[in-house]
Amino acid sequence: MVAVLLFAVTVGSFASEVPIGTWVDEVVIVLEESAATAITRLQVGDIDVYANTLPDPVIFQMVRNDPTLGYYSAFGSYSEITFNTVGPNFNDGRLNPFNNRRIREAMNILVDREYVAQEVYGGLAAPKLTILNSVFADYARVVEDIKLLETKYAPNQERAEEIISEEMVAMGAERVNGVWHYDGSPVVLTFVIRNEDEQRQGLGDYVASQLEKIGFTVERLYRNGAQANPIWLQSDPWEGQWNLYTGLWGSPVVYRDQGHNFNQMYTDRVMSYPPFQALTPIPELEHLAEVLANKDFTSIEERAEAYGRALELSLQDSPRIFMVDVLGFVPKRAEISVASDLAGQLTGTTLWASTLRRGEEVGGRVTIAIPSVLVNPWNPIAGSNMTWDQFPIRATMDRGITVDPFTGNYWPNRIERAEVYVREGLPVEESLGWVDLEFVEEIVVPEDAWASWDPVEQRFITVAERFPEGVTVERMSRVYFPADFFEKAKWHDGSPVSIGDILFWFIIEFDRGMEGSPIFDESKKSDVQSTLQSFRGFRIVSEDPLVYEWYSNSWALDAEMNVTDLFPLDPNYGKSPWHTLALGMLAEMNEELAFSQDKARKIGAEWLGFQGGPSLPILAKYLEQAIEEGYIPYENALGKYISKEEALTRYNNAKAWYNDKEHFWIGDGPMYLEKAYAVESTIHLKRNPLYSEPADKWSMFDEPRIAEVAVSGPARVNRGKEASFEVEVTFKDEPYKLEHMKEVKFLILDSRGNLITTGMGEPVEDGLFKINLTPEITAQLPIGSNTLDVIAVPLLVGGASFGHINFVTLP
Amino acid sequence: MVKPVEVVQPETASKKGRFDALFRILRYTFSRGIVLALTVTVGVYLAILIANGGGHVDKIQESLIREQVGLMLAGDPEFIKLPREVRAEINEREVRIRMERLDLDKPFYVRSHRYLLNGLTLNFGQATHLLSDSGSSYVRNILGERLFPTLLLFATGQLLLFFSSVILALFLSRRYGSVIDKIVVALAPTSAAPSWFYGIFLILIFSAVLGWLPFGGIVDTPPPTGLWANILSRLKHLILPASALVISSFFITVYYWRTFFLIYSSEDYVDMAKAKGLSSSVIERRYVLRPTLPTIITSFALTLISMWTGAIILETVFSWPGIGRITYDAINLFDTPVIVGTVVIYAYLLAITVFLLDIIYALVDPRVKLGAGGNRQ
Repeated sequence: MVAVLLFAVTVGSFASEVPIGTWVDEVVIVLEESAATAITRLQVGDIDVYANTLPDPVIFQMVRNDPTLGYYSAFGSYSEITFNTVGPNFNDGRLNPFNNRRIREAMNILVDREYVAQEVYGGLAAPKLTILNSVFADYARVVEDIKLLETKYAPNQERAEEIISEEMVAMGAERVNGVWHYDGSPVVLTFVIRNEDEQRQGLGDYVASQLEKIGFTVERLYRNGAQANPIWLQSDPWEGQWNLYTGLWGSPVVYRDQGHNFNQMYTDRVMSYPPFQALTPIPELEHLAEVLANKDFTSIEERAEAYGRALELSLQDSPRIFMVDVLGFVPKRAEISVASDLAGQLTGTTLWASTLRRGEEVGGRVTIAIPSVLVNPWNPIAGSNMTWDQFPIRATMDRGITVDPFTGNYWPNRIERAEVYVREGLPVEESLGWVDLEFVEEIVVPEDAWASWDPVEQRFITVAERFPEGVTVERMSRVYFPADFFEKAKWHDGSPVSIGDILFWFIIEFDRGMEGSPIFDESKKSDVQSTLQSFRGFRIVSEDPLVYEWYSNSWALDAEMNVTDLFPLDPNYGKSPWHTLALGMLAEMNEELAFSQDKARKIGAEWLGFQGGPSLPILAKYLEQAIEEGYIPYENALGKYISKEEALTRYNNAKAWYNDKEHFWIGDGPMYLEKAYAVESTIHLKRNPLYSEPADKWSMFDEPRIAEVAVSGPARVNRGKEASFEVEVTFKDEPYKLEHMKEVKFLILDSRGNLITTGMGEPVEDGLFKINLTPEITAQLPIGSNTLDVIAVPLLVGGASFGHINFVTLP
Repeated sequence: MVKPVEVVQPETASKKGRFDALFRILRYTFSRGIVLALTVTVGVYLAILIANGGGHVDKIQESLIREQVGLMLAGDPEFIKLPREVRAEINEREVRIRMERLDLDKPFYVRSHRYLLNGLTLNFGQATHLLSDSGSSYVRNILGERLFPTLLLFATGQLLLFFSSVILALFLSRRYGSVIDKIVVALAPTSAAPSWFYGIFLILIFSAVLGWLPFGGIVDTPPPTGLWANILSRLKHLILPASALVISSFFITVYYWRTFFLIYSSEDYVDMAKAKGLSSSVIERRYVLRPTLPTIITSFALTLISMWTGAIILETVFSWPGIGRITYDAINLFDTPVIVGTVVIYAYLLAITVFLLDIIYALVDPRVKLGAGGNRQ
């Protein structure tokens, strides 16, 4: 299976009609702020894709009913209700019911999440009980626990009212004429309801009305973000300015490990805001949150156990109750296909440019509208990281690895292969077949590896200097680039990629955050401080072919995600060659431009933008200076790797590029920036003729293969006798290949939702699994109605798919 | 006893008169200038106070900064591993850096005076949040880049509206009660709907259904490279928003001017002119237009400066990069330097216009004199 996947990814189809880099010749990105207008423009063919996640059910129906249109789903955001947990009395003596843990827990059953999903979100949402997003990997890992919790916390308004009444009375409140009173006054709950979108406001109104039904007086404060923040996020919770708040969170990418989220959501360790600092979690939950965040476990099973218990305790604690996963959609013309990240849609994946295609056409132009164009200046050091800027930027940059838009795991892009060494006992798993994973007793960092940077002397600090006693780490990755990498990989201006590019990135990541550097930037200091917390060493093993080693104490559950990509080291802002970044350095040293907005403001200069604007003449000036001086940045360290000739050649290439394109945004991705039209809010991208990879390299990501599950079997089962059920797993009515399936699990629940047993389905053929209930299993079943819940976990997408069947157990 | 009469020679009288007139004008200019400067200063300071909610916005901004920093640090798995006190130190440092960037480390009253002084001296400096379309943080660039599209749209629309409505109104004032007059009167209430409302309809008809004109934007995407092709493309994109501007106000403006001209047309001196047998064009020019000229010029001048304000929703509907939208963004983001920039420029334009109008009145209307205590005579 792994071999098949790897073959598909790394080789692809080299049919003669497959172009290099991208299927289309050009992409034009234009501005469209109105979703309704965007749909009309899509219908008449004025635009091809509206790359904006929409939550509106009315527009969704318009798109679904129009055969000329299609859409991609995005599952990245989710809503919750946050409680002010201090108390039981605020400073002024008022009662805060949500200080009571049982009341908070009961809120989980007071609300009907299915109702919210269907009625408030018009079907564009899925009920969400726990912190986990249903399309992410962790959900599939602990799905049995979640199913049981969903049964336990099924809506039950009567029971909720009973619990809340008990606790309110215990807290000294009394119900007078159906209304809760405390110290002679009604208990008023101040509910801060965000009103930017209809659904979020509807959610607040629904929860408020549920509370009113059980005797609370609710004061609804409808506020936008800026107005709500000082009330709920920054005020002292003890002042009691609020009791509840409609929260909304988003995940820009598909996460593989959400273990750290317990720390963030249920303890005071991560978030510095007053309501988080006021949390007093259940001690066991606090402990497990730390265990999961620090990965303090030795096996996946141990982790799953801790995870399951943490989920259970998180519901008992409930400083917030999760409500729904919002199912947004991205409308497009029906004939357009493109890779779309399950969380961040197509703006969230680097693969969008290479997979974008109109039907079976090769060439042509595609027009994509987004709600904001050219938001902030582009520079890959500390420029814009806004989604709407990163979207075009991602088309212009290449990476050593690429992120799977459906699972969040890493695939090799420029990297050929990697070896990952982790300390024995760490629960790291390899699943995609391109990484050699090895467990070792000890990983000693070589003395000659570079462990830091000296910003004053402009030289690397070795491990021997930083750790004279020697140092070991939890994880090392050795990364191999192909032998022809430096021949094939080229920047848009024609300059070949060199080892200087990789080393420059490594240095500047440290240099800017270190006092004493000529380009020291205080806003980078925390980042370096954080990096040095786990980073221990970097060593070039071979310059050509490029092989390097990275030593660190940070590690991930997936072996693939332990591979450190230095091409580039930080992909969050884009990517540029050292010869344009050097111009930026010169400009910053002379206080005419600055990479970061903070420093720009501090020195009264412009924020550096390579794509256009006031930075260009300044950069052009320093280009002339660099040519004149044969400037090599960090020459003390890089002089060994960059020759004067290479520097001059590169600067002249950049000059020719600037004269032709009138900007300095030089990348190495499958598309290049032809021009960024600032006032016109238009970005014109073209196919990069110098790119080396075929357009179908990532064709496997044309659409997420979310499985559909159907369970069939007997309506009656006799106790003590064998019973067999069939599970059909399909995608678009086609059988799901067995090699693309991780597993099929099942749970049997009684009519009250109690777990009877669990087990695994047996693969039969593509798209078909069999669940055999042995006589021993059926003998455990209670007489009456039972449910068989089936959970299918595919390899090609992050989450799981579900099916179920009810049957009656007879004596 | 009869005192000898001092005879003033005509030349001396003329010189004295001219000197008096000059003195009056200078005195008027000075006093008017002072009043206008004070008005502008007070107006701008009020705008600063309102834009900052009297300092309350600082609290909101700090809150937003703390949220931003908190989320940023929470997303860094290595940060979480740092000791609590180090995390707190980093958190506060990041908050401080951002507070300094937005000048929030200084008390509001200090900033407010600096905003005022910088604004009045047209030294707007850097915006706190907004950037120009090309990425500049300087207010002059933020506003400057939007100036041409704003002028292009609003000058076209307003000038077209102004001249066409005045001409048609004059025409109608001569044909009071005619069919066309009745139609215009009947259609006047259509101007109750704003320009963006017509904009949406025009887009639906001419872009969505007929496909003749673009949905919005200022030029085709990508913009044509040839000069003439580029100009033609911009004109094509101008048609719908300019039409929306004109249509939304056309009938009410014609109705307004037509009523205005009718009032003047029924003056006694006009009847006298008619009785004298003067031609209608002479009557229109000398007896209707001439006395109404100050009002027309005032209206025209105010129309010109209103272009500076743009129109937020219309610009949004047509994705037109105008001043209105940038002002709206600035208000939403509490970007005081940009708000001050737009207010100051508008205030200066208004003050200068009012000042010039006073002078122009004197030139076009013989009944008006400057000075003499600052009162019109």
